[in-house]
Amino acid sequence: MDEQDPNTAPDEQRTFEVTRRTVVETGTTALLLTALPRAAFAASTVDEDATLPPAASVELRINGHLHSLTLDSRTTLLDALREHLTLTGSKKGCDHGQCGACTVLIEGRRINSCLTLAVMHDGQSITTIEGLALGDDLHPVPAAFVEHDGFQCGYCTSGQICSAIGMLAESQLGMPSYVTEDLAQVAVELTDAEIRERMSGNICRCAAYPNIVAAIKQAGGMPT
Amino acid sequence: MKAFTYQRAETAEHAAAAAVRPGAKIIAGGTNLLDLMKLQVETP
Repeated sequence: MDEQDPNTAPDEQRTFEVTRRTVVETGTTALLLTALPRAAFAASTVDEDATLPPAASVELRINGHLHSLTLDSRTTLLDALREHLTLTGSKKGCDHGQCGACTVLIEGRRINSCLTLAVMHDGQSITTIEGLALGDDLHPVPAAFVEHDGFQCGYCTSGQICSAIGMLAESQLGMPSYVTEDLAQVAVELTDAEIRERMSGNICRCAAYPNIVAAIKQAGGMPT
Repeated sequence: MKAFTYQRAETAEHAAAAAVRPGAKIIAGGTNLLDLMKLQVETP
């Protein structure tokens, strides 16, 4: 009995090790099997379609600086900003124009940069979140966001801020929204309903909406 | 997204001539077209 004990223990251990190793090995093989055809497929696609995608030249004035870029014409403005100019303040949330995290200002108007091509904006002036500050001073809208805690995680915030700036300019020009009752008014009164409707293209997963509304009200010169 | 050639129209005639080429699509705001191109629903 005494001799069996030390023998059984390593045996059990060996059985366990083999099993564990088998599992790992099987897993690795499975991984290789899934990876190989994909790699082979990718290589063959590249070989068949060896021509380079059509490149296009574009000049963009971003935050006051002129950038000359040669891009694949498929590059969205968001990818041009993030991947080519390393201006990663504009976020890629959904890449389908549904979340608003990529909002930037083109000639002062807000736009979802994921749904526009960089080549469509040749010669135009683009403002991103990085270009809002006046020296060391915050722009009034981000300052109001800080004051009112208009964010939690902050992922949507650069889009929210750019959208808010565009929205304030639109309302000052008297552009009506879906909830505007008097379409003839010169400047729109920024009620909660107006702000919420006009900011409805910007989603906040943390639901900081009440604070965002308060921040925009303050930035728009309304009593909060 | 499939590769395509982007042509910026200089005149109305240029735009009309480019638009009738097979598979050509007109993009202005482009929100819907680009979204569909990303999913390869549209492949101009």
